[in-house]
Amino acid sequence: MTTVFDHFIEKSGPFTPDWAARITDVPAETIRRIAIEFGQARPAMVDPGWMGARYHHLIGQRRLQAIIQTLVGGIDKPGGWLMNGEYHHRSEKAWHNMQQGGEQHGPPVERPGMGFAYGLLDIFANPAAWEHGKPGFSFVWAMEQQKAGKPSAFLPAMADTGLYEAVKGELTFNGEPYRMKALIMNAANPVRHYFPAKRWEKMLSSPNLDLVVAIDVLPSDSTLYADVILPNHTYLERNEPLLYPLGPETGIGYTTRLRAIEPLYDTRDTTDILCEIARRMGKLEPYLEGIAEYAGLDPQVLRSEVAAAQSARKPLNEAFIKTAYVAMGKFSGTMTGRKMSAAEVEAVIREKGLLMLKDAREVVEEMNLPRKLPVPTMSGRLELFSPILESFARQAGQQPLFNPVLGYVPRMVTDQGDKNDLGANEFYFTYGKVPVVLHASTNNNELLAAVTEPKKGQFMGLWINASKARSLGLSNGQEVEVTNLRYGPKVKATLFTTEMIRPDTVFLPSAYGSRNKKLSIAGGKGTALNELMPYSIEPIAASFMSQEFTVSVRPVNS
Amino acid sequence: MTFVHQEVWHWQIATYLFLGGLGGATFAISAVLHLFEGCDRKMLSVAVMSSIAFLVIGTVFLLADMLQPLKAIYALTNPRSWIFWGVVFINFYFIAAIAYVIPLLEEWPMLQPIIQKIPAPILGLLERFNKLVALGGSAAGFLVAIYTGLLISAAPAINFWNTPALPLLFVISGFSTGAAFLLLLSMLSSNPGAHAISAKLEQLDAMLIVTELIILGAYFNFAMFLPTGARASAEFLFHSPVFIVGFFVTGLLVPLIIETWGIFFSGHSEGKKSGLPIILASALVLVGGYLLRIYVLKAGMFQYPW
Amino acid sequence: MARYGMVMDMRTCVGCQACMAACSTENQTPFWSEKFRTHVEDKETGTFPDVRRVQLPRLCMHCENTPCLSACPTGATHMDKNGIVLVNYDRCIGCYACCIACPYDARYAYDGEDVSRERELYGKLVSHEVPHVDKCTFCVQRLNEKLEPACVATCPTHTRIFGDLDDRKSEVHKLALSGKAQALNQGLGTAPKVFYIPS
Repeated sequence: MTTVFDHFIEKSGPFTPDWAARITDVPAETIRRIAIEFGQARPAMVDPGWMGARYHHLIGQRRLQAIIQTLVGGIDKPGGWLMNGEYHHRSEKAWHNMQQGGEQHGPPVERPGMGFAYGLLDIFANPAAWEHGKPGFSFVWAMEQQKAGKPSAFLPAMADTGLYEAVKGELTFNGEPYRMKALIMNAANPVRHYFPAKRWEKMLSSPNLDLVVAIDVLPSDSTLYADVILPNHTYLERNEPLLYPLGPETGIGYTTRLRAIEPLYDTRDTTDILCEIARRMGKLEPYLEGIAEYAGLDPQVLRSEVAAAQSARKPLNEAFIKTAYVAMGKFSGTMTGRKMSAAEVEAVIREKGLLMLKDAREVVEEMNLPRKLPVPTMSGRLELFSPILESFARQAGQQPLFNPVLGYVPRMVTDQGDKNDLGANEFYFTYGKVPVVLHASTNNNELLAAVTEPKKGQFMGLWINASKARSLGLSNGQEVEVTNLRYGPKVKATLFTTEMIRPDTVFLPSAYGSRNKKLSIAGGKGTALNELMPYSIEPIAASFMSQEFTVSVRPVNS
Repeated sequence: MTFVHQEVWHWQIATYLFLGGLGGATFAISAVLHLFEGCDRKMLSVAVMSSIAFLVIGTVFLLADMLQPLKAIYALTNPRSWIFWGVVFINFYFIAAIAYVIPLLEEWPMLQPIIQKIPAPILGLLERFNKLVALGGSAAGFLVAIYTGLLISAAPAINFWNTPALPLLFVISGFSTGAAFLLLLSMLSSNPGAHAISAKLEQLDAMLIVTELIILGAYFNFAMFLPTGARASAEFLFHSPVFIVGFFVTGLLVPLIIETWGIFFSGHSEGKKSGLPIILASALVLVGGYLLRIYVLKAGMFQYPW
Repeated sequence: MARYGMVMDMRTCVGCQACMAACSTENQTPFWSEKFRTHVEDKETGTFPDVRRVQLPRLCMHCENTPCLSACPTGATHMDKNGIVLVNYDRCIGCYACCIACPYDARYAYDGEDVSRERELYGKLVSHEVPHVDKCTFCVQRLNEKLEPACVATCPTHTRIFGDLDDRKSEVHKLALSGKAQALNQGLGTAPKVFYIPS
């Protein structure tokens, strides 16, 4: 009998330190040394990093990081990876429900791990969940592609797959047309932030799209395409409608955003905008019910708060947060044994900025996964073998990407695969953030732009190795044309020569290239990353393969 | 280490420094000539009025460059500042120069009515102590000329300026421009005694230019020694054609050659035809002196420790 | 009576420049003219792969032997009882002698145009009512309210450490006294009160 562990040892055979050294430029002795040090430190920690979805095999990379972390026992242990408070809470709730007997799961948002994904599938991929009998467009696309034996994606939960096809009128579901006629963009700037720019420009200008609505605080490259722009409160003027868990924090706590100043202009919270649209469509009641169910609010309380807000001519946003305080008050009872009133919850949040119900130490003690609670897998234990990948392999055919043990997926920067012999002015491409711009939306802020100016090269330029630039006759500050050699798009950029980058790679800060001249500071400045990007998605979550190409860099012919 | 050009004192300050040196030196040389050689009082009055005018114009440029010139009187607060002493010296200079020039202006019939308006006892005092005032004024003029250099040299992080050679350079250059200006005046004067004065001034200026060249030699030798801000400034100047040609060549060498020729070979330029080169030389010295101040300011580079 | 000083830990500065933004808003400095009271120098040395990058935050060093104070003819530049070097806006004539004297690039002109723009942005809350030469004040207005300077409060990486150099229990005292943190350009004799831990 062979165990999963035996399979792992066998499958990892060819992938030696010497093999890795040839690919990574990290010496084999260093790899060996670190492997031994890592294995002997208990616990040790792999820092998984951010913004990794750029290659086909990223999910495999994350999986391998988790496997390595598990092998040294560094799961839910101080010094290793600590699950967040919310995950602990949901896992405990799911375990509790299961013990009470049966599969009562509660709303999908409350399910831990893959349960959450399957919960979403149950709604967005399930025709039976909708009156009109049609699932979400991204799943329709995936299903239709699969039926036709074409490349698809298994879990396009937050993807835009199928959207363009739906707008164009090319998408069908079980032989029936699946059309997209209206779009609401809430605080989203897809023309600048999604990949690629051209796809969204065409989509939003399609004659088939009757209505494009943008909810935003500033003119953006996407509001240029909107039929209606609904002005939103800025972050300083905005109240959130709900309470939210604390993200990566291990303790169980909740927070929200409360406005720092009263709104200066005739703007609205998104909640009020959406509720008003629902009301004018005659659908406010069902809308409120849906939200209450989704967010775990008491629908009675919500309805009465909304009615009170309406008669007092107050924003409906306040009704939601008040209801959320009530729900939190009750919930806190289940966590600490002491219920709180809505007023108490609000007072703590206003004073401390958050409501802590269980601190990290207690959570790791009492709700440890898997030492005290089963992990939400089929066996309740940390599993190195991936049944999900195996199910994908069964559907889409065996391939390294879906290997449930270990599959090596080589880098693909051309249609044929990897490329190690680059041309004279050919480079690998990478991109990332800079400290002065948040989510690429603050590049129009005058103060941040002023602070950027002394480091314009580092923050806005295309990084290229200084020695390499010299050998190509290129200089710092020079305008160049960057061409995506695999997919074709071209952009212009300004060079920043530095030794802080490999000679075979260039780096572009991702936060610039706004085109809307109404952005008095950011309009027309910098290079738009998404104008260089292809439309290329990987088959699991449909994330964008945004570095699977090489680029050429040459001077702009003036 | 980073070298960064200073960005606060530009041509307006250079104008003030130039006119300060020129005015102070013009007065000092005129007064000394008057005291020890004797010279025509009319010419003298023109010279002294010019030197007062230079200082007035210079001060206007200085004040115009400030953020709050109307509060300039506050500058008389901190005696550790060279600007404080500049204000003191310049005011002392104005008082002395005006006191000195009033009796001289009596040479001009047009001005007699105005001068007679001054109460007789005061006029008498001014005439009696004219020579003392001349001495005092010369000292003030000298101090004004050298203070401009002391002010610039009080910059601990601008290596090129932070040297005793700078005040020396500025005072010698200032006196050279003063001598050149007076040479110009005397060459253009139809006064019979002017020729003798021109001869003396020609000699004086030539000696001052030689001294200036010696100081410059020592100055740049010191600056070039190690890769400091001083060397960066020196290299900046070496790469400035206007500095090399406008100051060094036509501002120093050419006038020196002309004056040397005038002293040794041309009998101090008798006659108008051979007077032209000397007039040219004086003008070039004046332009050169102005360029020196402009470029010393431009070349001032901070040496920062990052 | 204190002797305020700062320690910059260059091992932790990541060059985010949040300090520049915080200082600008707290002290209404003319960022629209690219003039700041504090800067972060970004220096790289070496060639790939042996490259080093150092971020050096800098500001007025509040020197004990203050060259700008000596150079100021009006006494506008003065030192308060806590060792902070300040500019009296009403007495400053804008002669720039202090800017020339400063070895640490700490000063800049807050000119008439800047004052107009400041009025547009801050209305009745303007803190610079007349043109003058400006520089870091260790946020003396915040110190009076027992708050740390804005840059120190904002820094996410504990790069900027502030305190009383004469307080034996303070971090700045220990770091400066032990020699772990050193002042810049000590040879000039200015005796700065801002010290640096090298990276």
